[in-house]
Order: sequence, then C-alpha cells, then structure tokens
Amino acid sequence: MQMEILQDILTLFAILNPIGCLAVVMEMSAKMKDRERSAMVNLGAVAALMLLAFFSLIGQKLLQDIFKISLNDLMSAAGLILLVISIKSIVFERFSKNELGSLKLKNLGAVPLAFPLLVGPGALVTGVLIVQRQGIANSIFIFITAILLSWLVLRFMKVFGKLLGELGIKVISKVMYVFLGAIAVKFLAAGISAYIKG
Amino acid sequence: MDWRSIIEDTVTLFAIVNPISGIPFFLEITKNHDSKTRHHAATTTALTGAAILLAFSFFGQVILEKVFKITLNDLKIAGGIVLLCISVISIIKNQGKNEHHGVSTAELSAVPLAFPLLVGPGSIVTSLLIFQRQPWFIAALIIAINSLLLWATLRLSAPIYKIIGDLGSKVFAKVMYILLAAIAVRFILTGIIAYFGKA
Repeated sequence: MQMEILQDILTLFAILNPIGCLAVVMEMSAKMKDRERSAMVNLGAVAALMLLAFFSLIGQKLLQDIFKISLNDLMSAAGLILLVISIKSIVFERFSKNELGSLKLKNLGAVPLAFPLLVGPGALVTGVLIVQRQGIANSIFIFITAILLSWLVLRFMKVFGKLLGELGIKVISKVMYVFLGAIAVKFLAAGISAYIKG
Repeated sequence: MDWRSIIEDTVTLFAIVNPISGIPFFLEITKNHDSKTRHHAATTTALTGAAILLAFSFFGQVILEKVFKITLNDLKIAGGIVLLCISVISIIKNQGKNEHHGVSTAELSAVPLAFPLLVGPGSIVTSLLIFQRQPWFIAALIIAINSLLLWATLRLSAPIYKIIGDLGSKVFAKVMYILLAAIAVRFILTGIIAYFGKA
C-alpha cells in the first residue's frame, strides 16, 4: 500500500516534470526580481494543486457515475495519452513554438505556470486515475506531495540551473520522458490484459 | 585482481552497447555541423550513456521494479515506439530547414542516441550483472572504459563523410532510418512477446 502511494507520487512527479519546465520558466522570468519570481512560483504551485485536485475529483466522479467508465478503461486511456505525450516530448519539443509564443505575450505569471506548464492534460488524467485507485484521502496526500516536490525544484531553480546546466536539464527531462513512456506502456498493457482476462 | 574477467566483461558490455550501430544516426544528426559541434555531441552521448548505466547499476532496479513497477520490458516497448516514431517521421517528412523540429543536436545525441538506442535495456541488464560479479569500482571502471570507447568510435566516424560525400550521406540517412525502424520493431516485438511469455 505504501509502495503504491510512493509509486503514484513519483508517476505524478514525472508527468508534472518540473525539471522540464525549468528551462522555459527560467527564460521567461529572467527579468524578474528574486522576490517576484518566488512569489510567482509559490502562487503557481498553489494554483496547480487546486487545479489538479479539483479536476481530478470532479472528473473521477463524472466518469464513474455518469459515463460508467471502469478503472480498466481509464487505465488504457491514461496509458495512451501519456504514451503520446512522452513521444511528442521526445521527438519534438515539449512545448511547440506556438504554445510558447502565446505564453510569452501574457508574460509568465502564476496561471501559465500552473496550466499548461505544470498541470497539463497528462497530469489531469493521471490525477483522475489516482483518485479512482486510491480513494479521495490518499489521493489528496499524493497530489500535495507531488506538487510540493515540484515546488521545491522550481523554488531552487537557480541552484538546479547552475548544477545541471542547460543541456543537463534538457537531457534529464528527456530521459524522464522515456520512463514516462514505460509507465504508459504498463498502464496500457494492464488495461488491455484485464479486458482479455475479464 | 582477475584481469581476464575484467576484459571479458568489458568486451561483453561493448558488444551490447555496440557503438558502431550508433554511427549512422550520429552522422545523420551532425551532418550539417562543424567538427566542434560533433565533438560536443559525441561527448554528450558518451557522458549520458555512462551516467545512465551508473545510475541504474547503483539503484536502478530497486526504483524501477519496487517503486514504479515497470520492468525492462515496458522500457523496451516504450523505447521501441519512440525510435519507430522518429524513424517514420524522418522517412516521410522532406528534410527541410526545420530539420529536427527545433530539437538541438546535443539533445538528440543524448536522447535517443545515447538512451535508449545505444544504452538500452540490454546494456542496463548487462551492467547490473557486471556489478554483481565485480567489486563496484571495477564495474564502474568497465563502464568508464566503454563510454570512452563509445566516444572514440563516434569521433572517428567523421572521415566517413568525406568518403561518401553529401549526396551519399543523404541516401545513407534514408536507409539508416529504415534500419532504425527495424531495430525499433524488434524492441517492441521482443517486449510484447515477453509479456505473453509471462502470462
């Protein structure tokens, strides 16, 4: 049980991928003062947590009660979505020029940091899956821990930036996406094999 | 110290990592660049490969199997799908200005060249076995030697350009992507077959 919670925390952390966001966030907040930047990161993390918890809880309720979607369906769907995201992030850039351009216009604030940089569609479907699997209390704990870990990475982005360098950040983020792909394959295989057996 | 087993393990790891198989892709991604960028890319590949092998050998399997519950099969299938996508996209798309979709050469030389093409699930398992057989510093040394060999292989591949020329390397690139697709399919299939074998 504890292992499963740890597993979910790390899966969620991998899809939130704050290390992958670092390059974008650092570039966009280059002109900010330290105080402004940390305020933005704090607010962004809180917003990301609210967003993730709200949509995961509502989404799970909706899917289960109204659409009658089972855990296996959800697992297969989450596997597919995560697999596509990981492929897209490895083969292309994580965020295309268009997506980044629209962010830049508004100047980076807490909202774009929370959505879509940290919490995107992949994080939301993972969130719904976690609620379905672990129940509400456990999943709230998982969300808080994963966001807290991401917040730590963003809060100390200067340290990480110095330590890893620009290329290091990119490489780590890409390697993480390969593992995310493996997790996605596992979801997909589990979902499909449950269909065949059931 | 048992020299023979050290040499044996070094050769085994070299055979699995198989740096020569990385040459075509390396030539492809560095084809429009000067020798400095190539040097940089080769270094990135060697360092990423060594880092991944070391990280996995020290705490890899525990994290993968206990925490994430992903096996090397999952990794094989996912890596295969990524490689397949890269090769299919590159075969279909006309190589224009925006050649690698804005992904830099150094990035490409880390993922997918270093991982999962060269240092893939197979080399991870091999290095885990080496770590079980040898004291850790010797195992680390073996990995370091291999990463040096990988670096040297990639560095020495540059003269191949001069022989095959510009047009030759373009044709070569297309053929190479077909080969890459075949390797990717083998990754995916062996992964899937292993799934069925387990059930």
